[in-house]
Amino acid sequence: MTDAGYVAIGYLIAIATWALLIWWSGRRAGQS
Amino acid sequence: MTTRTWAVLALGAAAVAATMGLVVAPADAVQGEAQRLMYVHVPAAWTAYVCFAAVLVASIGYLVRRDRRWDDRARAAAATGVAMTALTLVSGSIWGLPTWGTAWTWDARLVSTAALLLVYVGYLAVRHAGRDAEHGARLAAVAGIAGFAMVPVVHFSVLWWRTLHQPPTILGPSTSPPIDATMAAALVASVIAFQLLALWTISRRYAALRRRAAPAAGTRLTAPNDRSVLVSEGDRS
Repeated sequence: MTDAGYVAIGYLIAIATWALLIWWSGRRAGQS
Repeated sequence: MTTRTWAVLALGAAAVAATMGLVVAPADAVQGEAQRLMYVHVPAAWTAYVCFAAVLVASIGYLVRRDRRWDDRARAAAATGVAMTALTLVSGSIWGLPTWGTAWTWDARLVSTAALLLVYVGYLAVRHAGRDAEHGARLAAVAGIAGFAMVPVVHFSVLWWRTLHQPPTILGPSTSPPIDATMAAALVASVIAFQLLALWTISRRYAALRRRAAPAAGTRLTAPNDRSVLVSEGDRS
């Protein structure tokens, strides 16, 4: 894989992590 | 500031940071294009440190005040911190492949970061081990205070032990960091974007946790003067 390929994968994972965190943070919290 | 304001600021800063890191900043003379992973890896690690510092402060706040709002603040910050620690490990592994020739090695920085992740996953889990919600929150607060001891171990691991991981470039002992000015600007833009995104997700999670604590609309409550009152959507905080 080229260096640009590693960079693309790293950025995509970062975007996916934030998207997941933004979605999850707005979810209704359960009782604890 | 509302969570919507945080959202606009954070997404705008993220767009600027991505442009700076991928287009404006030059490729590194030694590592080439792969060095651009620094604009994900380093901000993720610093954001995790800041989130865990927030957990420390909020945990102390909970033990002093015994107010569940402090526990909810700690809990919201810990979740973002755990996600950022995981992103630090994954982006570091991807960066390691073209530069070190391996995604993982038993290096003090890598191992201590993995331990940091486990400590805060434990923080999120330990509250469920309590006898009740209050006891669980107390256990979590103690874990949130003790767990922060891992943060300096991770940060200074590259100075305390001989490691494959490079020593800190910016947050190191040097007063003049050895980094190109455009690269430094791109790194600062990424750090700002990550911090704003973290503030957004933490405030959003805190609001979700507080909604759980608030009475549902239409719930009949007993007022202090013993008259029944109905809680409307507008009264909920």
